[in-house]
Amino acid sequence: MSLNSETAWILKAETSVGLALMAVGLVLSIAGITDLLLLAGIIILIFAPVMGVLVSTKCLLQGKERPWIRVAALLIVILVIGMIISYYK
Amino acid sequence: MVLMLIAIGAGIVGALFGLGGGIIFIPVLTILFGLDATEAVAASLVGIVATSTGSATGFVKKGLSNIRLGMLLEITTTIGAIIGAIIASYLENWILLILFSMVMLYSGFKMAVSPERTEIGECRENELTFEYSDPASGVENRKYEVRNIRSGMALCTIAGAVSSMTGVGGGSIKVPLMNIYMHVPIKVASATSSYMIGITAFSGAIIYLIMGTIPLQVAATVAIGAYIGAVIGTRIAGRTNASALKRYMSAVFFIIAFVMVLKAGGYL
Repeated sequence: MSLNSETAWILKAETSVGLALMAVGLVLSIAGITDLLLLAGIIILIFAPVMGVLVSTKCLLQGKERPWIRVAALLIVILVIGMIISYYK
Repeated sequence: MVLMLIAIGAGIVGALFGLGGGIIFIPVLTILFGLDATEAVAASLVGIVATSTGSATGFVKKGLSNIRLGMLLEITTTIGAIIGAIIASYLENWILLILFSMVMLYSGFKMAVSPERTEIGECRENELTFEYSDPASGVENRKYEVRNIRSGMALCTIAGAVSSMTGVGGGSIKVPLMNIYMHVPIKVASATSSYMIGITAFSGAIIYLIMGTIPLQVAATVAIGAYIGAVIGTRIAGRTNASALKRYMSAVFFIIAFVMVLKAGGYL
């Protein structure tokens, strides 16, 4: 599969799983049973774009596109730094 | 149910114009549902991720989204988003509302004047030369060269900061920036913006998630509706007269900006 089709696939997969969990979780949350499924769905959905970046990076590595591998790696580093900053803030 | 329907509408608008939908979510959540600005921004960012991934999936698969350019511009956009989210946590509610109103006015103005660059110009062969196909417009393997990349990246920092401070996806800034300033074809700019918005929104949303300020039920309702809307919007994007719709949307944006200023001033 190409860069575009693999990235599109992971975006669709993550989003579908996240939304499905949210839909079920919404019912359970309104019924006052648990919020955990809702939270899990939101987390999976939020991480979908990052998974897209990781899969794109894998495709660029396979294609040995060095300048763009550097770009993708730098973006991942910045995303991780952002998560660390927000965790310790 | 009302929120779900509004989110579907926001998702359609977001997919049509390369926006995240936050420009609609924020006023709805603050004015109609009484959420404070921080909670509204947090829920909006989750909805924006859903709109972005919902529309980007189709655009990426068709090759309209330029993933390489998107990742490059996201480096500075994400830095801006992190800075913006940290600043936002120290700001008063009314300041965020005023800031949001200013973004609305800017977006409305941009939509009203429709400054699309249709002439892409000559392109040299280098690492920033790409090609795209858009069967809906009869375009096949057309090459374009991305210009002004450094200053474009710098401006994306501002887009990222505004995005996480106001809960808006930043598409209203990125699309004209890519099209007018960086010479990216409008359809590619819009599709690439859809792809980028999700990553920008992630940087903001993760901070609100860790802080525990995301209202879960509201965010899930917005996300589900926004995703459905984005899928519908992507399908109708190629068949719609966007220029007429843009003029109506700009009027709506001006009205929302005015209402938000009233809310910031405590009149609503």
